[in-house]
Amino acid sequence: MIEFRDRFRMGLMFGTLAVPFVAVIVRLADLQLVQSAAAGARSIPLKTSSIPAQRGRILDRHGEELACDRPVYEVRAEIQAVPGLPGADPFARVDLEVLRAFKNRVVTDVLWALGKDSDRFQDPAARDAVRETLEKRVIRALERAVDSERAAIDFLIDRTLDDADAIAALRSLDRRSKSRVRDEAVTWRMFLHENVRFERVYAEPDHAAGVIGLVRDEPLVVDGQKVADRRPVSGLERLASLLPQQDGEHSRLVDALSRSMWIDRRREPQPGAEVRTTLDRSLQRRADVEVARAAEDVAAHYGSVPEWAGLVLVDVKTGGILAAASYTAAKDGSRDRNGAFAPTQRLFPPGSVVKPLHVAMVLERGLLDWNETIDCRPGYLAGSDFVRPVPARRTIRDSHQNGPLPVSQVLIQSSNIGAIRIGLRLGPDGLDEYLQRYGFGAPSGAELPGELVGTVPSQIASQSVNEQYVFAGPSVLFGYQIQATILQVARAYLTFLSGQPRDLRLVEPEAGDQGVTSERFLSSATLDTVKSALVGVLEDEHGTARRVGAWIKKLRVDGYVDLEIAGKTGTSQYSSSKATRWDGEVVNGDVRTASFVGFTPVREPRFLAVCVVQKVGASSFYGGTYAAPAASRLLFEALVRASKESTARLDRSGSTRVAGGAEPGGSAILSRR
Amino acid sequence: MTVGKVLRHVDWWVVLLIATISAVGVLFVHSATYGSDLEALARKQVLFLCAGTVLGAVVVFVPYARFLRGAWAVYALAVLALVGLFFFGSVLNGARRWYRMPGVGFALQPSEFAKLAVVLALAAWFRFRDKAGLFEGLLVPIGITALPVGLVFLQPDFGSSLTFWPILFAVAYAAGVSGRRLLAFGASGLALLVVAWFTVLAEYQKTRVRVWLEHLGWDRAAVEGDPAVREMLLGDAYQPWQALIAIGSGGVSGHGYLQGPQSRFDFLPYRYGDYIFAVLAEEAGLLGSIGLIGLYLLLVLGLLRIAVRTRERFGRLVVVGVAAWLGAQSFLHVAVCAWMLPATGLPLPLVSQGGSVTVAAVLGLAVALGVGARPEPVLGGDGYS
Repeated sequence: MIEFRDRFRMGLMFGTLAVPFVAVIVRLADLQLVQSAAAGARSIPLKTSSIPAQRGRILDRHGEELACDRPVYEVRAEIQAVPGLPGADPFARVDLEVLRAFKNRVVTDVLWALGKDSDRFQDPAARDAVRETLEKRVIRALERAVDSERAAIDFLIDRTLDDADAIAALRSLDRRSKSRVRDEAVTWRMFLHENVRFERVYAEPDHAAGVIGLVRDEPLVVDGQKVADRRPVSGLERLASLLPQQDGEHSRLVDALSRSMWIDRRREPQPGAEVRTTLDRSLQRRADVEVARAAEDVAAHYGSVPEWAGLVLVDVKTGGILAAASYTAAKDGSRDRNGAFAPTQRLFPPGSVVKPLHVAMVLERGLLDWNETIDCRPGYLAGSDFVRPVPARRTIRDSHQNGPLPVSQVLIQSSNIGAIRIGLRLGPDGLDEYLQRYGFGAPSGAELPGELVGTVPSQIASQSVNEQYVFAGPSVLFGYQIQATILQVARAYLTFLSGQPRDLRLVEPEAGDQGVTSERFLSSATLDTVKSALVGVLEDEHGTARRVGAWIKKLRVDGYVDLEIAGKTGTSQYSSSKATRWDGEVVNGDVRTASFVGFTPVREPRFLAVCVVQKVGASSFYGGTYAAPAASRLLFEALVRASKESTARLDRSGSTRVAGGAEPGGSAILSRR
Repeated sequence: MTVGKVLRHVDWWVVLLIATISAVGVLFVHSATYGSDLEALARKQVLFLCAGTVLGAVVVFVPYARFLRGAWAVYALAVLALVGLFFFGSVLNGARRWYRMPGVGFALQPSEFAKLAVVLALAAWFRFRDKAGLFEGLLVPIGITALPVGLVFLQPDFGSSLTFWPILFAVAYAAGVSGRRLLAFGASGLALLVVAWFTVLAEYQKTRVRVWLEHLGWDRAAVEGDPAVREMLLGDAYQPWQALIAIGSGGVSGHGYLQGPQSRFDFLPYRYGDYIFAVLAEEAGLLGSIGLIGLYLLLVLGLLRIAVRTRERFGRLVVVGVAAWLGAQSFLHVAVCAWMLPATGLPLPLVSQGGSVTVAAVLGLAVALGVGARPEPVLGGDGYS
């Protein structure tokens, strides 16, 4: 140890060294505690801005994306005078030639970077156009810089850039521009701002636009408040759950030189919920093709397209809508893909497709013997025959004069008189119950935004002198005075095939949601009986859809021995003095709606299809001719696919599949021998 | 003395402090260069630290009496290196401070090593002069110090030239020179500065002082509205002002590692070197700043404790000189970052990125640790072992 005097000197020396450090600490405390808030306000104003959240994805039943948000970048470059360049108006002091050279360099560099996007600039003209636009933007930015005497000014490079290579190249450009600063007497720094935006992308824009819908790049305003950046305008896109839950937040800092940067992500954006639909992407595509084909068939026969058509495929087991396609004619005769979505937004009188529905109810209640013969003579009925004391002003006719017909033939030949004679046995209350049980006039359950619910008569078999309701009782028995959508007809048949009220579904329910089980009102025996008649609609020689039956028989010969489709055709017609034709002309004429509801396999139905085609001013326009083929082809396609999926499942599980047998779930499968 | 004995006597607390400060340095050099073209500098800094550690380990095991024997030779070499700069040095940013080492990506800055040389030379001079008079106790040491100071000043590197004087003061005072005499010298030094203002200080150096003096009178309104102040903020005051923004915005706990906006967005020039403390203050806040300053104070204290335990005068004075050198340079760096002093380029030893400053600091500390590891060296009658 050294002497005390030396130790004292050491201590004093440390004290002398420590004092400045203490002074430094005091200064730092002043800066970082006392002046911190003021310094922040003065030098780094904080602004909080939002980071957009994504809309939810729409998936099909297999989890494939039908609609999703894709991030695109709005890329802006900031031209900035080099710090230290004296003067508040640094750009104004630079020679014009230098500015021009700078502009050329920026444009060349940016074009080089954008060229990394392989999809861009394949066309030299496109490159020239981008160059021209960029030049204008840079010049404008420089003009603004000079005018405003600002040290930094930004300009737009691209609003929807999504190519990773191009973005990386732009970033490298940023560095290149910085490194160049060192070599030049007068130059700028270029910063890159990438504000991410989202663009909605659709997997099947040509085949599923109607059901999936559309969003527009305009703000969604509710009660004067902006709710989202993009406004859903149709289809599933209008589901509220898809809306972004909450935008994120980040802070914008601006330094003493008015340069800004984004930093400090305070809240992560919360995207909208994911919606898993019951749709099957491939079947949707097929349905769309089939509905267009139905329209083409009409056009080929009548020389003009139908006004609209729709085709829906439903999974009977789950009630899920597998496909929903729509056809709307544009005024030039082409297909209008932005037209009304026929399955939910077109109302029509369903016509004869409703006949099996009430016949089954009458049969179930023991008011009808299936072997009974129904007198369908003389081919027409006056209103006074069944609604008294209302004067008979209208007459109901069959398309053919029929004699007495067995009940099955009433359905096969679609006799209106037979259907009325059977259906009226339900009585007014029974008819009310019939409309209610099958869900006419009520939402289909699909919860597709914008769905119409149609109308039903307010009173059945009314004693009122109001003419409108005079024929309500008998009319509803062959599908008139009911206005329904395709989905409502599909739901009515889903109910019929299940023997109990069912709802359709377009969105998969949340886990644990078992749905509501309703009381069964049709027994299996009743259903089997009525279904046998509906097979005859296609396969009987008098069947209204016998053409399709012939096609099915041919497929059986080709090897699809198990193929069996049952269904019911419908053709409704009403006269209107203001019928709007496909070409926009308002005419005085008949509006005819051809429809067909089919299902397969018959014993344990798995798929249900409804096809409707409407044409103004067409004669001999029947559901069996124009609606049944499209629906049947779609049913066949669904069956074949289900069979393949089932085979694949069985092959994977190592089981041996018996052709024509039942799959583990009990449902019959189509087989080919 | 065997290797085992040296290792046993090494002050491991000081070693731990050196390692901690160096690790903080690497972290914040990484932060200061993160996302820029200079990201490799953090790796380079690790290399410099490794190189310094290897050289330092050798130095620790060399009996420090050999440094006494070679002190004047080292001093002469340092002076020659400083003179050589005027003939062979590379010019960077208008200053001739470095020898470029071709092929290794490294430039040697002799002024950093000159500080160690001055420490050794002053310790050697004062070894047997505990009761020296004015000439031997003050004028000759001033001369020893002034020669490299003058050469460094002429490079020009005003900041570095300032760090030599605290070494002289500390070594002279520890050697027994009268405090009153040193105070008088300090006062006359300030008077010399006034003379220098009118004679040798360059215009840009005067501008830095003027801006510093002016900024003491700025208020919020002036910063936001006075065009003259705005112009100054864009020009001569840019760098210290950005450092102030960084430090001020750090608040109590800072923005977080790699989150400092001034650093991340390239607003603070030379932040990995001359303004590394501002980066730390911005990202680690007041707590981090006090933490680092505390580490330096502990390091100085640790070195002075070694000095107190060393009875042999040369060793003791070397340790005091190293403590004064590193302590003063650290203070000056922090003070410049906080704009308590006019802006000048001074790296923070062990923290700022730089090969020469890092290796020189590690070597200086290694010499001090070597002294500490030999509490009672056996010296011959002539003073040599």
